Amino acid sequence: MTLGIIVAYLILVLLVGGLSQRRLRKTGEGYFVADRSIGPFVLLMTLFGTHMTSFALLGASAQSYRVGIGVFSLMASSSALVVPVVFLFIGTRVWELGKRHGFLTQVQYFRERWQSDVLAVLLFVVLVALLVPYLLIGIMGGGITLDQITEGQVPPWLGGLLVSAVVVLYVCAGGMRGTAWVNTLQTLVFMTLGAVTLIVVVRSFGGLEAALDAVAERRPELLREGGSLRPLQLLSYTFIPLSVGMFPHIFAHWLSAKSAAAFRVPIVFYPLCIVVVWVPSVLLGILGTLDFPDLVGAEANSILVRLIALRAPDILAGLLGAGVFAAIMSSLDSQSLSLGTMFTQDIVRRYVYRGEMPEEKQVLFGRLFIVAIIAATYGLSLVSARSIFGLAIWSFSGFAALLPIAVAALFWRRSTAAGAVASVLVVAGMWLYFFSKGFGSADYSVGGTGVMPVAVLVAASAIAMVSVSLVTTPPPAAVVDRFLAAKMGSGRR
Amino acid sequence: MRALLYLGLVVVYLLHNDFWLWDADGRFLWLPIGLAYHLFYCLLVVVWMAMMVKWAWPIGVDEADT
Repeated sequence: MTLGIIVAYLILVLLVGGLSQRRLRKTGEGYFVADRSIGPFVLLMTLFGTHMTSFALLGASAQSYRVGIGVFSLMASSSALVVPVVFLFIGTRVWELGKRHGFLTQVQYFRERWQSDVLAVLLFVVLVALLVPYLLIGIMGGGITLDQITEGQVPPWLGGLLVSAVVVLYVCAGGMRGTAWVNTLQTLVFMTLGAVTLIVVVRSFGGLEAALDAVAERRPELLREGGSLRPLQLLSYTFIPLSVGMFPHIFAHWLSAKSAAAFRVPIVFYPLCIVVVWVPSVLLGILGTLDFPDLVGAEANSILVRLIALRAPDILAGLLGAGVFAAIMSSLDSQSLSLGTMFTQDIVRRYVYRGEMPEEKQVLFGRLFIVAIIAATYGLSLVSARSIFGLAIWSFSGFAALLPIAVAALFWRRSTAAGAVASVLVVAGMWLYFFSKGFGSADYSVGGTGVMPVAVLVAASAIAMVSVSLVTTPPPAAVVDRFLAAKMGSGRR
Repeated sequence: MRALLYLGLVVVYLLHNDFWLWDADGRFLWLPIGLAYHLFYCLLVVVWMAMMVKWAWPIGVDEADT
């Protein structure tokens, strides 16, 4: 039954993706940014679905099982504030520039903004290097989850293959429009699933109050924020969601918006979506300690699966599988599409066709790259160790540390290409240093102070950007005016 | 109004760091008080962002629509 529900769900996903193909215009803008036509509701759903991975369901419950309610303040409510702020101050401006100048990738924007191919190539390499592990985690997560939910009926290699094949089919078919439509469905599925699971499980415990009373008796520290967190950890963790401002896949969704006004709904309602998904996940993880008090290490990752198997009807296990797949695929599709877009636009169109690439060839290359990227990542997933799941937080930290570049590009006339290059190099160097020190350690912080490496990375990136910009030649005013004058209340009004 | 909302945003950020509830054991609306605080914190952000998009919308970003 579980497998049947998951297969039915995947067929539904393919149908929606197939429907979107009817609206596809075979041009670069049509395929890669849906002709900049995505309205407010779909924009909210697709941005939220893309940003939330399966971690919001499985990882959040596993973390709260281990450390308690502090997970919500650490990871969820920090995003509830930072992400909409980034959408408001950066996303809307990126959309406006993208629409005015016809940008399809963030590398195109930074290259034009600072007239630098060196910066563009460097950024391309760093962005791809940070994004690939993220993709890998999605494919591996799909395989492992299906293996757990079906109790070994579907081995991880087959589950990963299934996720990869479905994503390739609908992303290749519908491009950005297909991705956005399918993401809307997927986001609604995993948002609903969390709430339904919580209601069913809580009722089986005799109500929330009774269940939490039982937790308070056995593990009272799980119901306190300070049970396992340190104040500096909470403070510095708010830098992590800044990564949303430099994710290539989020950037691509910004460019696909119908208008700047379409951002209003995502900006206002994003925190509400966070509540709907994360509160059930955190509570379910805590309640899981009552039935499964002795899970150690990676065993805790399956707490939600175990809880549902024990306390919910079979159909919910199938829906959980569908929900986890929804969360995984809604990120994987956007990430693979954005990588396909970058390889097509930033490499092939720029350096092979010298900018003059026929529209249909752009779509063809985009599709070929998507197939190649997912196939290569799937191959990697077969030989990668599960410890790579620890890479996720490092990937987020790297993207967050690049945000000062976007801020300087959008708001600082005096910023220079050399400043941006210095910023990228400092981030790359320091990131590798912290990674070598902290990878594998679950609660690594700088010097054991509780300060997350991301806070230091963001500060170093900003300092490099400012100091090198100030000692290098300012960019020509005519170039800067193309990108800043209109918004700053002077020049082209 | 715009400046006031920007200033308020800083206060909202500071409110995220609820160290005064760090070791609190109580409940609010059946939820552990720390979790309830952050749930309502998210709702506060919804209200604040609604005010931001109404009264502190970025200048010039709608120009590309026309």
